[in-house]
Amino acid sequence: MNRAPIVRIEGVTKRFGDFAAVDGVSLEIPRNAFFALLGPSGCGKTTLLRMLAGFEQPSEGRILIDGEEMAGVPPNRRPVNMVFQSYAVFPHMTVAENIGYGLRVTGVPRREIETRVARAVAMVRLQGFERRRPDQLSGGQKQRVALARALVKEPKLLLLDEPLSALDRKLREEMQLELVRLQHEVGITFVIVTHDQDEALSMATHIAVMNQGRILQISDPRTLYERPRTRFVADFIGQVNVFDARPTGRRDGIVRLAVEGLGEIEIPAEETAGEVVALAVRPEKVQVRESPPPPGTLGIEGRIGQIAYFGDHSRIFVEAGGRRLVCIHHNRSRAGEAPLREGESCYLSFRPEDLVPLSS
Amino acid sequence: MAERRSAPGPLDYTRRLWLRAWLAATFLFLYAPIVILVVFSFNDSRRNIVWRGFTTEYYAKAIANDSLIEAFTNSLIVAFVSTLVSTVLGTLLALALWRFRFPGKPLVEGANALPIVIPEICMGVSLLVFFSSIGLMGGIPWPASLTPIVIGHIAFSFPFVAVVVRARLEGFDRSLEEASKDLGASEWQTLRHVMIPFLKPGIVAGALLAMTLSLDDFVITFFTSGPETITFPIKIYSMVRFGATPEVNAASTVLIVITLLLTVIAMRMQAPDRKGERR
Amino acid sequence: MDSWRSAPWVFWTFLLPGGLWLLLFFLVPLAMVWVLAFGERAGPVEIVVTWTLDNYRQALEPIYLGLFWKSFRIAALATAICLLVGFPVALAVSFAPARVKPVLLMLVILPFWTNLLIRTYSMIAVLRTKGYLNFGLEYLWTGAKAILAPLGLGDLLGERFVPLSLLYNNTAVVFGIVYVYLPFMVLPLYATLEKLDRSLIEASLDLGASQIRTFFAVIVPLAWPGIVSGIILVFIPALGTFLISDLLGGPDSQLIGNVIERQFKAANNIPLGAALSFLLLYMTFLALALRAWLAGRRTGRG
Repeated sequence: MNRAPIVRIEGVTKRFGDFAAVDGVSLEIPRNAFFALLGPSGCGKTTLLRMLAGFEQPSEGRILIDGEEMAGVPPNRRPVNMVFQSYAVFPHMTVAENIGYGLRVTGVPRREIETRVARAVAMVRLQGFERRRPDQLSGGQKQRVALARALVKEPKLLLLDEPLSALDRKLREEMQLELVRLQHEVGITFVIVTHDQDEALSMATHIAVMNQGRILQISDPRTLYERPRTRFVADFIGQVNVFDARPTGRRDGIVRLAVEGLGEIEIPAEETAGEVVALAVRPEKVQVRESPPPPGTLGIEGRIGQIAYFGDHSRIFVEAGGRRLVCIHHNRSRAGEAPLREGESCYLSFRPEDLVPLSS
Repeated sequence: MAERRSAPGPLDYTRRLWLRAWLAATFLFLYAPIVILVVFSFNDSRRNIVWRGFTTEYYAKAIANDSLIEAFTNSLIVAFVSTLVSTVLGTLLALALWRFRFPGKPLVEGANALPIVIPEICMGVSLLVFFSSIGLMGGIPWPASLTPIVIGHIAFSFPFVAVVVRARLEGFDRSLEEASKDLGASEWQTLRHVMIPFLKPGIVAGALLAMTLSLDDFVITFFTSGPETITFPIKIYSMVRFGATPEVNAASTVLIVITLLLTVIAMRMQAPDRKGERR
Repeated sequence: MDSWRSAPWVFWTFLLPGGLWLLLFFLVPLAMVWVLAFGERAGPVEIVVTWTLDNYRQALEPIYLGLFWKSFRIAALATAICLLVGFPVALAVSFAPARVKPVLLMLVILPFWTNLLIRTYSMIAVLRTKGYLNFGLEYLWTGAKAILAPLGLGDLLGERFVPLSLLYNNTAVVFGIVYVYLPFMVLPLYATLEKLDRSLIEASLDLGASQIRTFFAVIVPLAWPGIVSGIILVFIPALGTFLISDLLGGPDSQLIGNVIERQFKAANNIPLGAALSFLLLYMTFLALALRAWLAGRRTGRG
């Protein structure tokens, strides 16, 4: 089995005028990955995707797909297909004509087109809709047409540009599962662009977080969530409590930090990458309690500011030492137990190993 | 966007050389004749073909030509009155068609579309027949003698205004009108304070179009001007039939400049409103 | 939308001025011409309506039918040229960067603000025997001669430059129509291309279609409404033109417009002119019906 990455991006920069939309990006996309480019709007992820498709040319650097240099190769000659954000389903063709279009224009024999289209239609579960026109389809169905139309070409790489952003929430969750199923089924590398962290976390095998044209971190979803490396990544994915920190010393593989609000803390050096500027802890690792924390855990004294009730859990905002911290409280209280109230004083506690060091 | 630094994308059609050449050639085709006309109005030669030096002699001649000046004045009067009336008629009709449903509405809509689509000559001859039969062609003193021309210009201009204003009305949120009435405004106050301000860009654009159509027209004027009425196109037409002379160039240049000037003024009037709209 | 009964006063104030104007100064005059087409001349200016069909019979004689056919051919040719020239222009304008687009659009619209007569007149100086086009051709001819002469090929181009007769013939009329009506073709094309979703073109390229294939399989079908509008906007005025053929055409460039004009202005055979005008109108309606049918067919499919 071929272990070489399917995509290799080497030092790619894309400038529009003086503005660098993509700024010196290098990355590799492994074969059969479900690769997500995640970032806020305007971070350059769509530009990067469009360079893979061939709609934009890099100002600098090079892109290799399956070992082949892509510079100067127009989109119609690339082994890559795309699912557009607006779906871009041709309004003047039927569902079957849309799905067969890419085969027709490349001279695939008619019989073969028919069988492949039929297979693609079955794959996205659109049987019975072959003769429909796009204006008779729902958003989710158009999405499926766009997917089938790209997959029927059996590309080496399927690009998806914010494919779920136009769907309502329920449909979106359904399509997330569907996309993962399809990816397993066809074994094609998927590259998806999204600004929705939940989407990326639940679908992707690899996530690259981008901001201001640069890649900040590439990890699997769990590592990305549990061990973010920078303040931006920690902040962008999920909620987080951040404590500013300053290194004061280092010995025997231990880094000593002066942490705002927590005092001196020591962490293993192998967990840090670069200069540590802050420590973070996820809200679900923080406990609210009425009594001081047990030994071996870190604690802060504060006052409950606000409680947002979500049924199974509550989000509790605690004012502690001039800062506002958040923690998740699971509502498992039994009858007779007094619920937490706003304005009460309390203790927040968490284990030191749940603190994640962040660099800038 | 200065995308000059990187290779063109597949959809940057405007950056393709052949398309640029095509565009340049087309604009050359559209503009060269007019530029030549303007340039040679300053040429010191009756024979209009080789440059012999700069002169404004033909402008002096054009100004001294009383019938040319008369023709000019007439054309401007026609354009002014026709624009004014067309704008009012067109706006009202657009409001009627937009707001009300009534029996025979498709007929009114069809009648409004017809002057826009039928060949001008058909409209021209019908107006000629109409005005002759009611004795309005000839034998009446100035400026009443311009009446048939003005009526004709209004008849083919205001349907255009109606179309432009109605297009603008499509973007109107009727709850604004309802809010105005809910707050106690009458029909007319609502029209005056809510509808007209919203429609203003459309009305100005319609008026601009009406003025352009009037100044641009030859055919309707040709058929509706009586034997004694001279308007600018008619005057030029008779001069051209005698042969192309620098005076014709000079007079044409003046009309081009006036039209452009009026257009720029009208657009300036429109511009601040556009900004206000974006707020 | 309100019923007119909900505010009859408002309704009538809105509707009456324009409605009456259309009725009085557009529909009534047209109806008069329609009636006159069934009239007979009973004196130098007097016409009696006898509901005769002679005028239509005369208008359908080969000489006038031939004129209609010729007008149709010239208008169709000019329209085709406008489409061919205008499509790339519209494409270039609608895909231009945001900064230059308004400028290009302005350049397309600007000729509208020049009087039809002046534009037609300006063509004369370009096309006549001693005009600028021949001037340019002579310049090229002299250059070519200078290059070819040393090679012993000088005779290939003839002794002297023979100017082409470009003015006062049918070619000049087609040229003039294209010149005057080209913007009418470009604008509706631009309007549809502007609205066209760019990602559809990208999708076509992405699926492996070449640029040319994409043009015919995606851009043209989706720009179809604009193409039809452009054709109508150029074809109908071209069909009825009389000024362009009058000023630029030769003795054999008489079009139906010129004949109608002559019946009303000079020959004074108003009944025949009326019949001819209405035949022209019927042709127009046919073209409009064709457009509605074409548009309906496309939307029915798409």
